[in-house]
Amino acid sequence: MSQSTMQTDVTVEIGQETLAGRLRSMQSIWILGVLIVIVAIFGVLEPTRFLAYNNLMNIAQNASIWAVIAVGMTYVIITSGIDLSVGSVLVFSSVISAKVMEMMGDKGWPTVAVGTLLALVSGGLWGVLNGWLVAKAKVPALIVTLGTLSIALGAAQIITSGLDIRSAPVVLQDSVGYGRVAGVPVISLIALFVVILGGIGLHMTRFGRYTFAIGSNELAARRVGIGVDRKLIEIYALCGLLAGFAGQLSLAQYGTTTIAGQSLTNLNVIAAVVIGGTSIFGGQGSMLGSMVGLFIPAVLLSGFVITGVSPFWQTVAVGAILIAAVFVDQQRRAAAARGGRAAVKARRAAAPASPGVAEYK
Amino acid sequence: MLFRRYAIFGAVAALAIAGCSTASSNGDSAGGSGGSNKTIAFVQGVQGDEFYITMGCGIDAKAKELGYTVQTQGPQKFDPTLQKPIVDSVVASNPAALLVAPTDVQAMQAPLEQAAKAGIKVVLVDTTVNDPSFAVAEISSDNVGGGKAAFDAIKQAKPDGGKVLVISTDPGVSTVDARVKGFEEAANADPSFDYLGVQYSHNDPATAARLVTSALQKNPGIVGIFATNLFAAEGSATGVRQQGSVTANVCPDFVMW
Repeated sequence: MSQSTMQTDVTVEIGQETLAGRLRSMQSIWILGVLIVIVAIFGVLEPTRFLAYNNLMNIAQNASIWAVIAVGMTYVIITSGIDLSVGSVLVFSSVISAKVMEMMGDKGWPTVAVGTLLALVSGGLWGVLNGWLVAKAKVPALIVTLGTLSIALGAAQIITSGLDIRSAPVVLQDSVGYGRVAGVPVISLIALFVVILGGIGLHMTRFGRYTFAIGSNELAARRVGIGVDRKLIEIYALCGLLAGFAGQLSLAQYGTTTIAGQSLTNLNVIAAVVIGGTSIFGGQGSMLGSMVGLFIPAVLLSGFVITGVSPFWQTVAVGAILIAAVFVDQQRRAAAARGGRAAVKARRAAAPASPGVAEYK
Repeated sequence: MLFRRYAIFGAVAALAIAGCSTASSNGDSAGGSGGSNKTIAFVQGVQGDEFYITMGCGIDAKAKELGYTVQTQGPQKFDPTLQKPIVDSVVASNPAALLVAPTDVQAMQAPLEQAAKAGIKVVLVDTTVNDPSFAVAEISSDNVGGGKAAFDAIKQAKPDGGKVLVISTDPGVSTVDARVKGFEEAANADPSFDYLGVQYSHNDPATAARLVTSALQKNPGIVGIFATNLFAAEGSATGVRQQGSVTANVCPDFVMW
């Protein structure tokens, strides 16, 4: 792939960063349509229960922690990387935070502030380690984060001897975990804030453009003078930082460090990001898509439970949607590689269609 | 030793029995839960665990007798972060009663309190939470006594004593913690037995098998293993078989619910 093509593509990305532009990209539309259809079906089947305001707010509340992690994961996957360690980093950060908050004694908000800061720092440090190993030590991201998945969880178990710390400050649990402002869960408002910041960062800043550039063609990004290694470390650090923040939110929601839990968090978040149209080959994706991708499994779960579908079918449905989403993505790429039918589609998908990019990782 | 083989086959037989003949009735009652007051929700600790399926069979049978419908749901893993969204949705579906096996004493406290506050009668089955005062009933066995009974069984099989190990699921699960406690107290009280402590299998048979094979590698003198639940027992039995030449007895989930 020539550098000049790459250059054009970066320019196209820059030129199209409007909400309308992103919505025009097919995957987002397609997947948003799927979500709307799912909501409509359950709405028809169980109008009073599924569409009840409280149920919708509960869905939002239960998706909030994953939403925060999905923001970081979207950046990482756009660079054609992956972060499997988020669930363990979440647990590790919540352990550090809970441990210190326990030692301080429950003094209300100051305790919460210290705990939050520590959760962010410990999550961020795991992210820096991931990023350094990926960018500088050149270990594939899959392997690095598979390793830190074990290490972070093991470290959390060492610190606690495997026993959950069950003493989050009351104010954290009451106001953040279960509090509501104007009927909306506080934890969801916090998550929404993070998502909006993450979306602005991804679609409207130079940092975001470089993220896309690295994922589209890392070599080209280096040649045009982007400090790829540094950017990668920053991106993994961001993902770790957000996982750490999610750890603090998890403490607020559950009041315990859930050391034994969170084992499927990484896969659920990755599935959500991929369903939302972010390509695992890198270079493509959107924050809006990730959020829609997150809500599809959440809405399915709630709807299936309320309509009384067996839990075994829920996992089948989510898996099928994941494969369908990637299938559509691949079809679009193939069309683009052949020259594309719709000009917009083709231009947007052109750069990462190179097989050389897929081989990197 | 013959007993060893017997114990393992005993465990396997227990597993086979656990899958009751009406297992297919789980959650197949589709669609509308129309007359709201005739629906009961059952939230398992984890899907696909024969312990909960057996429990579900009992609930189904009794419910049918009384004219109730049972909706069974369960998380993919024994994990409060996966169980809470299910409980929230069950509450939204407004059943007459909610039978639930909480996956964590702390994390499930608030969600279940909210369910009770929404006017649903909450019954805690098997496991419990820190403050179960909101529940209309709690059904559980004497788990401390069960742990002790497991130790007595090992003692009966191995009167000479030796090293004993516990394979549990995860810390913070009320029932298995109590079983471990009962076993630990009984084992420490008997000077001829050397209690090696607990290993946690995260409710995964494969992990339990790995823990047991390594433990036997390190301590070939282990004479008995107490597996605190079904998955732990399945894995422990596998581990003992893999290790072959040893003479350990597995005491599977003695405390049948």
